[in-house]
Amino acid sequence: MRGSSVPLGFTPLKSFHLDTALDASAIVALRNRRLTGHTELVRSMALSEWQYRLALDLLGDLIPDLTETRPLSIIEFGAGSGPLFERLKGALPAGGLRYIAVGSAEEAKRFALLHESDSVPYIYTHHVELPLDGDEVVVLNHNQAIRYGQSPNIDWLDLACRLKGPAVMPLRVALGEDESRLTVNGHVVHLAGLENARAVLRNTNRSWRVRLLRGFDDGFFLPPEGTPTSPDAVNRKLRSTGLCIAILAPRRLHRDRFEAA
Amino acid sequence: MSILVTISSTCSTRFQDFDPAPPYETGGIDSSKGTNALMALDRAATYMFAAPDGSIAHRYDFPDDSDIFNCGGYLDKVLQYRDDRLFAHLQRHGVNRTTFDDGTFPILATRSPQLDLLIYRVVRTLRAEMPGHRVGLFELGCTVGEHFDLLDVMLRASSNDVETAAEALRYQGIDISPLVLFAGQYIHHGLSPDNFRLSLGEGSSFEALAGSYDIGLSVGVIHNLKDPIGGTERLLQLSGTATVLACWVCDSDEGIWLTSHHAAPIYIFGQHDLATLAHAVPDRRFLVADFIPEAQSTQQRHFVGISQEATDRLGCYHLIITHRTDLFPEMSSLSLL
Repeated sequence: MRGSSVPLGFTPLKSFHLDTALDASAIVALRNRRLTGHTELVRSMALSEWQYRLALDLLGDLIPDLTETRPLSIIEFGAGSGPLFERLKGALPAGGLRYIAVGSAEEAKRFALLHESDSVPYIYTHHVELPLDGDEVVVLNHNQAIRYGQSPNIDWLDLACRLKGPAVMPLRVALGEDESRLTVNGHVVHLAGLENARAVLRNTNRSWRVRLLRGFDDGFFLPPEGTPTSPDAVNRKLRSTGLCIAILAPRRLHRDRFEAA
Repeated sequence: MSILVTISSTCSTRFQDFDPAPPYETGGIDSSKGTNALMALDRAATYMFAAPDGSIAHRYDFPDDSDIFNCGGYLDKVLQYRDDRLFAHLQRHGVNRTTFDDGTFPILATRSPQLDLLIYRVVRTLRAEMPGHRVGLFELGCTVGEHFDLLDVMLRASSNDVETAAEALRYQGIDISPLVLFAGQYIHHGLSPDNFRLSLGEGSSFEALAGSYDIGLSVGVIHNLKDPIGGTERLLQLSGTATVLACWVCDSDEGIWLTSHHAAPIYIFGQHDLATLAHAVPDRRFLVADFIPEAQSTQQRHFVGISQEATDRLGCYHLIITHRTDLFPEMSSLSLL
């Protein structure tokens, strides 16, 4: 109970109550806004918080500006149930979006349930060959993928190095050195250190720019082993991680708070 | 050089469970002691991680909203119902209790599908007796309309994919949550609004003429109504042929108000309440399809602050209330009435 020291009850939640429920609810709320213009659902406290944790508004506002090509073609790695896809549908006029989701086989049916009856076509696939030849905007959605523990062995920075065209990578990073961390969902993930990530992007000699959200959703990772478990340590924000949003845009795109990698 | 990038999922680490709020021995808020008076109640969805000494080492709060939990839970059911393998299983082995309970698809042994099996029996009978008749089904607390989906699978599986819910049913659902209703609308895109309707409303106040639907259904939502008995009476009266209920009861004459894990009031029917309902539809029989003691429910710890002893005095009847007792010859009438 919030603000109370006396918990009256504990009900174990099932897995379908957690990330997948929030993703699905965010998709329903976003679609409702797009189709009806009503904002009550999408602005609810819970769904606003969830959209922030997925960086949906930030990415949804940014991606259409990464290229002037229309219709806008997107290929998203680590698409989950497709909340970013739904957000982008609302950012572009009808017929203005072509979308390919790259995700796990397990997630494909959930993705189809939530999107197949909608008017915006998509392709869902489990694998894609890089580099790409077209002018798609590539989204390397590390922030989304790690919530479901997808492909822990993929080197997301290595993928970024293979890209030539417009791209965005919301990358969870460690603020110090590279490290492995355990998420609250029980997945071990590799977090690149911030400076290491910047150096890798810089060495591509492409115009990668980055913006850091320090402490972003930091509690998603359990504290590293050896972290004191005193109440003070538990209560204070450890802020040992962050979200590094890296963008690669071929034309000179001005974006506040982004700096060269 | 090119590379093939494949996105796949991995198994998660299995944490050892711990219980941050074990059930009370004598009850937390079901006591008259002043120190146990409930002044206010809030809820939080959170991951809690304990150190070996039992202290909380880490917590991660989740955006908390019961509509979101319901949306996720019921969409998950629809996903399972729409699994082609489930359809093939029913087509091969038949739509019956034995197939539902054989363990191949554990979801089929849970409460909602078991109730859908009762509805299916009524639908098939009415369709046989009145060829071309759309069976009117009214669902109180419909969430995303998931019962429609399983009925569709059952009808198709038993008709060589000829009979569908879209052509066999006139479905009307009512729910208090806009979020789940929009979800239901979006995943049932393309159905005729004349025969698949979802309405926003509190279940005590819906308008429907007596007998205007063939079947009424509520899977526990009657207990969340402002007027649980009045709302249930209305549901019984609008159902011309049968009402199917998941109905929670206690072992006392009078019903009791408890608090659900959503921090919402929930009314558990007493024996007098069941008698009141029986009096409202004197031409119907209350047939018992099943009784699940609360201690054996799949959703444990549903009620907040009550003792294990109090929990053991609760249970859920699966009832079918009908004058068509010929459809359910194996069932006995509720003995409490």
